[in-house]
Amino acid sequence: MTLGRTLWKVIFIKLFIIFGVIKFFFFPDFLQTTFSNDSERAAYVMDNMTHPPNMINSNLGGHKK
Amino acid sequence: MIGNIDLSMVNWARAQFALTAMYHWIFVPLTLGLAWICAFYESIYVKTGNEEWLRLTKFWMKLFGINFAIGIATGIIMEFEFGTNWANYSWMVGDIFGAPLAIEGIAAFFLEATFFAVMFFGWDRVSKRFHLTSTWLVAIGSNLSATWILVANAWMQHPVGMAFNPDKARFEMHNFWDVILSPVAVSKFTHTTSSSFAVGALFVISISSYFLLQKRHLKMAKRSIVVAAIFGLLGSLMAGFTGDEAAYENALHQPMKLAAFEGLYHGEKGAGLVAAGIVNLRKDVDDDEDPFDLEIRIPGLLSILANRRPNSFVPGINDLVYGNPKEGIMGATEKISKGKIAVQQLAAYKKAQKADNPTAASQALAQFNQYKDFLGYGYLHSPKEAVPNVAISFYSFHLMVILGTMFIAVFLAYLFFSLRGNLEKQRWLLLPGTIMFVLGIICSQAGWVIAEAGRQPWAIQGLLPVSVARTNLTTGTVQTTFFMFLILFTALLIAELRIMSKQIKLGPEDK
Repeated sequence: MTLGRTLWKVIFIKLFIIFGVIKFFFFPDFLQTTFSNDSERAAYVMDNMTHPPNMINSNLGGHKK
Repeated sequence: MIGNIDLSMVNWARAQFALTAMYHWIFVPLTLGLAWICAFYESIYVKTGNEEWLRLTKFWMKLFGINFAIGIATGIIMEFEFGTNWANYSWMVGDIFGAPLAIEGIAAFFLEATFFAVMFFGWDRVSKRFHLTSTWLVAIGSNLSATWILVANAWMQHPVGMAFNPDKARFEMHNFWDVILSPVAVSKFTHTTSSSFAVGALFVISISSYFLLQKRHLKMAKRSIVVAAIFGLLGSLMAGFTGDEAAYENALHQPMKLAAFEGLYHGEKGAGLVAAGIVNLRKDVDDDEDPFDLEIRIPGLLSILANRRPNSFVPGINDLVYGNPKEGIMGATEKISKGKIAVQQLAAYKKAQKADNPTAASQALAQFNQYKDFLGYGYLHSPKEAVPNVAISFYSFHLMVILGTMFIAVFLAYLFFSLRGNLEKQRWLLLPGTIMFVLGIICSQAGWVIAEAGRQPWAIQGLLPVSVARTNLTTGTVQTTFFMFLILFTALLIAELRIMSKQIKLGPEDK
């Protein structure tokens, strides 16, 4: 039973940190919190797709440019 | 609009995702493999009625429970990252991933959670057969729930059964069955689960070897090893077979990944497979440097692996970057030109719609549809950006294959000496056997590294590069959460190791 209690403690502390701290303070859903409806979200994403970024450091693959 | 961005943010976001996925993947393969092993042990107990098998089952089930409890919900963090760091991607794939991930949630919650409770707390509350059924359902449920996330990952490697809707800026599922039965999804599921069976078996082998070296719980350790070695051997052989199939699928759908993990720059007929080698880090796509400082090559084997024909042509990185008309291969250079037309026409479609000009919108859409398969290439600035990191791809692939092959020999050796009845005297085998689980985890992680790093620069193969998939955040924000996760996961790992070590030292309950 000591093991069971320890595991429950680990589970509850972990869930509190993940949902109560990390999710709440550090991981807002960007599109959900920034825009009020799906049309605005779609327009924002489409804007990103049609105005692609000018990359400062685009060496993603690890090869020399 | 994104404007100018420093891709160090993208790389930090990738590193953060890799960190969380890799920590999560320490717990998952052990759950997938050990669940079946517990079910086998309990089945033997129910069949024979021998209380020794009950003690043995309870011991391994306790370790399974510790891993399950500590690992649970570590994967949910990746979903947070989608919404925060990868907002564009998250929006675009929402329609595709919604169904599989919802099924995963239902399967995981109802099947695993319900029967998990019976498995752990129901020993004296339900009949033997009902308990055994619950254990089997936990094994089936955990593997089923893994199916859906693997289907989602396979779709990113080989997007099928969908169409891009320019009005909603998202990929929409047109055929559910094409998505879940895609050959890439099938090979990914079978390869991942079978290799996880081997990881579960290596866990049992490592701890049992420790007991044998300590001369404690000898009978239990030997019994545990026989079942685990048979299961691990079958899992390893199946992982080899399905891995071969996965490489074949790579050749069909992700030839750049295959060329990268073999360090093949110039395509050739009857291409040889590099069994082992040292990558030349000075090598670039279009120079004359040798790709390897040292290599051991098996002639013709790569052509068989890629095309099932010994004299067939396997394209190299240069063929895939610059094209090879003789072999009918379109290079990234040409794909970029077509992709840029797709992006331009998408912009023209949007502009025409805003101007309420249906004729222009219809023309732009028709043009876009002609080039939509190259959409992702339209965001690349140089064809070399289509090349993943060769050294990472090569070493992770070869580490996976070498360790995976070694595990077959390890399981055979354990089985051989178990059947001869003198396993406890083989210290030369038992000593390295204690670290086999760690090597199993490294092998499994290497498999994911080749799958994910090898498909760069794509979030969705050929359609969406990571540079467009991400959210416009500052690098500092992502760095902060990266180190938070590093601390959290390290703490969880230490907790798991401490709790598990304590239980292993205690051993099975007394008779």
